[in-house]
Amino acid sequence: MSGIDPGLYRRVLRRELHSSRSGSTIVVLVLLTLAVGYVGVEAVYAALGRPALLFSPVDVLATLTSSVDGGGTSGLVLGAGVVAAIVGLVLIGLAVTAGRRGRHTIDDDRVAVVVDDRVIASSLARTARTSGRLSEQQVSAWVSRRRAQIDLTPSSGLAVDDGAVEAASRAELESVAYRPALSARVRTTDQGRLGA
Amino acid sequence: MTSSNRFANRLFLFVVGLVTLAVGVFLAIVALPGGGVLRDLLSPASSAVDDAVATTPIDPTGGTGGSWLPLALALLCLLLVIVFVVAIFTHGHGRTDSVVVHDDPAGSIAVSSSFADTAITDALRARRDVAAVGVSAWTVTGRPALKVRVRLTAGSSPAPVVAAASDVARGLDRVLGETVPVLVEITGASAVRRGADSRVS
Repeated sequence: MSGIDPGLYRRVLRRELHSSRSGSTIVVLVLLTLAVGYVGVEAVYAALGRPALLFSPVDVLATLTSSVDGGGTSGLVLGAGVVAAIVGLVLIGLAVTAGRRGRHTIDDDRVAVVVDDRVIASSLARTARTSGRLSEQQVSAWVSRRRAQIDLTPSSGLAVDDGAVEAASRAELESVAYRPALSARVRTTDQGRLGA
Repeated sequence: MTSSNRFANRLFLFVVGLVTLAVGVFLAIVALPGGGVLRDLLSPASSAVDDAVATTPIDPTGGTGGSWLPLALALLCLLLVIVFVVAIFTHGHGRTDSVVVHDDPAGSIAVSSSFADTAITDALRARRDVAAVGVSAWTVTGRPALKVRVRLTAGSSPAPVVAAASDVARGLDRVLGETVPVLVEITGASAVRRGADSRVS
């Protein structure tokens, strides 16, 4: 009945699940603007025949040549080179990695849905709390792309019913069709805590 | 749901990263004692720059003034700065004011996005598991679409809210006479809803 092109929802969800890289791009653009603007100012100084503020763009290469001409290792040039190479690698990494945003989708026949992983973890933690009769401090949960992990800390001297917790979390995950699908794992720490 | 060009962002980051990496590797090799081959390139390049500066006077008759190359560089930098600033401000657009636009021979009808905002917010706000609702309208591939951001109270399951939001969207379809794409974004789980009993969770 809904006259919405499924391709449109696919596009919207793909864009919501991955980072747009706009933040990094804007940071790089601002830094480049500052750097290029500064080179421009130096170029004006050089064109007017004034002494340079820090360096003249005309004799950058001459300075570099004289600084490495001794034959030994120039620490400053080496350091600058290594830093630039690392920055370059980070930028290439940002460009080619997927940039997943820690979200899952739920299938619905009318709306497109994205759910923060924190919401899923929080709902699993509450399920674990109520099914295992635990207090808020005894349960912690996190959700990654395909796994949900629930950590239980028992009170000293009391056993935790982790079977019940596991069954309840499974049921909770199965009742909602998260994509990509999640599988729950319950872990009970060896050491209990007094008064927990 | 902004209209930022994501491929352009990644391409830009890739190109800048590649150039930075190349410059860095070049500097590092030149600085190391083993970088003889690249180091030999330096002094010819540097004297070539000197020659270029010497042979490009502003005043060809040999009057005052140096080379026009620094001036050209300054203009290039100005141009680049303008391009970068424009590129910065192209990010983040795509919001719109109307959810439905109908062009009839008698005139044009537009339904404001604040109508959808009020309808959806009123329908969802009363729920116990909803802490806050925000609705915004965006243009996606040329058509208006709604983004409903729902902040849940801590520990609530998202599924019932999704079902409710789906029903609300269907109700909106009947009212508007048109299906508007709706994205429901479920976030939060930070604070328990104000005024509600925090221990029942």
